[in-house]
Amino acid sequence: MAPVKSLLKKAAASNYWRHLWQAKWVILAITAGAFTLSTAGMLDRFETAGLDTFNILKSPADPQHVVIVGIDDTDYETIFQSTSPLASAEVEKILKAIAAAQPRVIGVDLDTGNRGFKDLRTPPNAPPIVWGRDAVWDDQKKQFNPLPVLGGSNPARQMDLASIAQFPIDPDGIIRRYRRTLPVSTGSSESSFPWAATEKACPAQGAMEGCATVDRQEQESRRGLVLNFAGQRFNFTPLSARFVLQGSAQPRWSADSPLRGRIVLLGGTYRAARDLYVTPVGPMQGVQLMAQTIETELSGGGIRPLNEAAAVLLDLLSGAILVLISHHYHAHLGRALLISLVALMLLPLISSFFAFATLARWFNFVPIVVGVLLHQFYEHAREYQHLRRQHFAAQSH
Amino acid sequence: MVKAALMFLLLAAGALGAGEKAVGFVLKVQGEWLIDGQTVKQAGGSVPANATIDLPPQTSFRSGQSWQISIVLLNDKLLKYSCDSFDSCRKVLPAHAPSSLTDASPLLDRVRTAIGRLLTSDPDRYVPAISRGAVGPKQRLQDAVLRLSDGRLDVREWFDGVAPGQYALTLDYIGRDESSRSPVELAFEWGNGSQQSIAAPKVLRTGLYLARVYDAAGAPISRDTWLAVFDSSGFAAASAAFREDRQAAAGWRSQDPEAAETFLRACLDALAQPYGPR
Repeated sequence: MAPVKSLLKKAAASNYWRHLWQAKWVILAITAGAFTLSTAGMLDRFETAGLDTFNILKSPADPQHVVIVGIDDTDYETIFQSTSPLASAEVEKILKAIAAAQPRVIGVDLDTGNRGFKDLRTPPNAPPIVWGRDAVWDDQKKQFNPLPVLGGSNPARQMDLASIAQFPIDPDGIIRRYRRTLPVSTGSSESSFPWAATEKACPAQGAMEGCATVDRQEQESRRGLVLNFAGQRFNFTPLSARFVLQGSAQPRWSADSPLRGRIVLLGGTYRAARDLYVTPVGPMQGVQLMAQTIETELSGGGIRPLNEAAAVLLDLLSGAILVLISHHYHAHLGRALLISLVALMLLPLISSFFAFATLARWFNFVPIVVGVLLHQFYEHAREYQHLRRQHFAAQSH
Repeated sequence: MVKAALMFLLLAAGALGAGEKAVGFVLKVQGEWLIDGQTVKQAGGSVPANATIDLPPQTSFRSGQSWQISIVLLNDKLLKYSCDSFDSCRKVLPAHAPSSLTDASPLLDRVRTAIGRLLTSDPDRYVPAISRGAVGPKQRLQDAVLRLSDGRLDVREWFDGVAPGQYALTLDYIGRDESSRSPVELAFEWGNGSQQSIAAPKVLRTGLYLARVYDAAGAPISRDTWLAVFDSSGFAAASAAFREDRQAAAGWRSQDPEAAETFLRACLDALAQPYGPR
């Protein structure tokens, strides 16, 4: 801290402020330009490239709060006779087995819209169940028309609910984001499937481990919240439904199962379900995306939405820092260049981290750093030219 | 800044507590085992990360008994340990549950992949672009009216065309009179000269049931079906009425099979009302 203080002291004592004042239009113009480009989505390509790179570099972690029970190809063949829509009686049995383990919440990421699911009986001892539902996007009204669950009947108990299982797709066809709420045809909005499951699991802050970190006040940007594959790239290999059915027949299952107290998602991972999507870290099943989202929420949230005010302030601050470096080392151009190059690499990363809680959005801060650096070199060159002219004038006299 | 510090502390706390998280459960156990020093005699309980799996020190190998434990990890991997003598047990034990369910690739590989993605434009992600298809059920039993007579359930017509073999039939009462009845399970052999009616327990009474049939391997052979069970006095009329209903639905079944099925189930429901068939 001492060198920074001395730097600021020196700056205050010298004509740093005059330098900064001279650079004001450059800093403001580039900040405004970067803000406009970012808001218009023109930096998205760089942003997504940055996000993807950091996602790949991060090591996966074990999920802490969510367990996926998946109906895989073997289950589909042996339990469901390779038949779609899935037999409700078999889904009911799997739900019963999961419920017996006393999880905190059950999320069913299966299409239960078929009439056969009218007969499905909710296990009486089951925790809250969130039923995933499909929905059709109305491009004119910009809202979803939700499709029925459970064969058109409503969830049996008041504690259960149905919510839309949809993710926004980026322009390059990759899923990187999610939304907590989705606009629906009733004119209001409905919690998305992963957010509904998170809310059910966390009615209060201390309800389960991770609930304290769920930020309910987090504002969504126009494009939704970014999934933090980077920070929490969880390893979500689903547990087969047949193992759950076998496990539930064992005496210790209801008292001491690993599903106890966790959020359990039931989904289809069998090939015929075609529920596979491309993400920055590779293809993922729909239910894995849901789990990723819930785990992200319960681990402090994903990458924060675009914080325009913070981004603009950090742009201005970066500009001021570069002017300070340039001013301080104006007599040592080589040193100024070296430090400025280090700043060129570090400042965008640091700014990205403080504005968005990720290093991946570094490109948003590159224009200001490059612009101010160029301006400072231009100023140095002008000063040099001025001195040179003075030098020649003195010589000629 | 404060949030970042809190996040770090939370992550650190999570890392410290990771050893206690369950990574799987005991699927089967034969003989007495120790998991992290705790005796395990029954299956179904969770297995913590990094747990030590061993036999109790006082285990006697003279009995000729064999020891076996199967553990299913939450990432769907199955761990099996079995032995029947001191030497064979010492070869595999003590074993350890994994500390993590994650197979992380080395950092160098990840760096290589990340740089590769940035520098090359070769596609490395593909999506299937093919219409969904599904194989139909091996057998599709129809909703039906069955006769219960002299303690036997006549399944001759209903089961016609089903391959010979051992089957189990479960009947869940779904009648509307709100009486509570326990599910009925019937095991029987079908075909090859065996009788075409099943011995039914006394608890099976007339009414409407949801039926599920399983083969010898425990796999369902058909979608759920509805069965209206009648005694001899009501069977003929109910059966004739349902035959008429089926003929009525046959005309438009091809246009809307689901609606036809719903119609026929409504007919069965009406037939099975306490006041009997129309």
